[in-house]
Amino acid sequence: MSAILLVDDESDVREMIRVSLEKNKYTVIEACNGKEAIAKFKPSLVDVVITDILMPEEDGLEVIMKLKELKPEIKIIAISGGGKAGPNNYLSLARALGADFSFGKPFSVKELLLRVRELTG
Amino acid sequence: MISTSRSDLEARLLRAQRLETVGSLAGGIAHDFNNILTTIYGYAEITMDEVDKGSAMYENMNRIISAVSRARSLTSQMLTFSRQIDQEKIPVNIWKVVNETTEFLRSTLPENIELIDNSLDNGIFVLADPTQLFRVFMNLFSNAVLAMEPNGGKLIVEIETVGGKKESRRVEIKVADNGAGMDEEVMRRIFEPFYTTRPVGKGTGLGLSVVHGIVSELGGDIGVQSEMGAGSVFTISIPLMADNDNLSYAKETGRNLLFISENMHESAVLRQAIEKIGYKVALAESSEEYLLKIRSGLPEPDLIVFMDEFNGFTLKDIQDHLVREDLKIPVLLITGSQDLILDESFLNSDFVRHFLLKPVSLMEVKHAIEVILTGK
Repeated sequence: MSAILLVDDESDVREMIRVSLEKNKYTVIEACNGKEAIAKFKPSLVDVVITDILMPEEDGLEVIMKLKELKPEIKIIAISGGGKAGPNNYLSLARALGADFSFGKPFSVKELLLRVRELTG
Repeated sequence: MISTSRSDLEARLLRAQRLETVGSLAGGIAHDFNNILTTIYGYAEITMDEVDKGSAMYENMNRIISAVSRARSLTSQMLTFSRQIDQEKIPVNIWKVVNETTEFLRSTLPENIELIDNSLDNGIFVLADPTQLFRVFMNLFSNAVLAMEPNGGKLIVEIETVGGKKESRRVEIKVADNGAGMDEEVMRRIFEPFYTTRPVGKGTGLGLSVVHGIVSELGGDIGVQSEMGAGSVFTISIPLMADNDNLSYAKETGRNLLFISENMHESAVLRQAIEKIGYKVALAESSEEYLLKIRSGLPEPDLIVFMDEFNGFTLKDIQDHLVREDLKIPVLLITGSQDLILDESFLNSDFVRHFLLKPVSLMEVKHAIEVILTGK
């Protein structure tokens, strides 16, 4: 059974994405920051990670770097609402670190699902 | 995957974090707002999946999604407002920027407005981001044109240097119109964010507050004199460049960039600034010119900067051409179109490596170019 690790410090966003994923029969493991994500990550269980970038206690860029070390073939989707710099800068960094796809908030959850489907085969 | 050194990425991460913590209220609000919009957008889509297409509920959800799109645009503008604090500065010939702006404006002026440019190129330099200055002047010119609707009038531009001692010398740029003018109350408030005298939906009221912010950051100021029924004069005053000012350069000089832009005046200011910091820049104003500049026998550009689609030339055209010729040239997209940016097929491909929403600053463009080129 493969699961999707969903990481975002904003609980409403996390819940909305989780509802969407579960409607489409995916199993979801949630984390509210980078530190929790890295602690909950099980390489044998998780094939796809959806992670926000700007979060307290280890941000999404750290998550991407650490999970890529633990499981180089892990598939990653980065999402970001940006900060002062706007989402694009963070998403470019995420892609440079190995994220497969990126979405600036607000994004279409339907488009997100399409990419998840692509990454899970 | 683009291979990048860890210390390089850590430096970029630190810079991104520093940008984040520079204490921007607008940045914080935009971030939270985007999260809330994501939730609204997401549940609207989830609901659409559960109801009949064509039903009233489906249509209502569609309207919610349109509203989210408009809200996103407003957040972008708010971010632009807060971003003006960080400017990448280079020596700028003030007359050149004013000239590019007036040339750009001329093509869009109504017939009943006469543009009189009394400025001369006296080699006056300030230290600034020329793309921000272009925005400042465009903003003042647009306001002047609006003030003269529908009867028309004269828009007069002048540049002069003032001040005696070298340290206190400044350049003054005056933009005058003989339009409707303003009363005391309006004059008192026009530089406030979100204050506007235009009807709802016809402007956010951010323009002059952004102008004020940009000019202040340069150590300058902006003033206005006006009389109801007679017109207004805006005066911007900026210190001249000092001899020991620190200048900005690209990380790797000598790289080749190809700009694609239909309007050479709009891109001129940015292109000249990019050249000043050390890149070599070529321009293509049509698909024919683009094909001429990318052909076998010529050195391949390191990067293509695509400034918005126009008739007969779209992003897809470039993508198809590069694929056909098996060229792996990355593209930086600079566009005013939210739709183009939200076109996920470009966002998540290796073709468009980075995109920026207009209006852009030199710092953003320089940073984007560096991210793309050093990631190679």
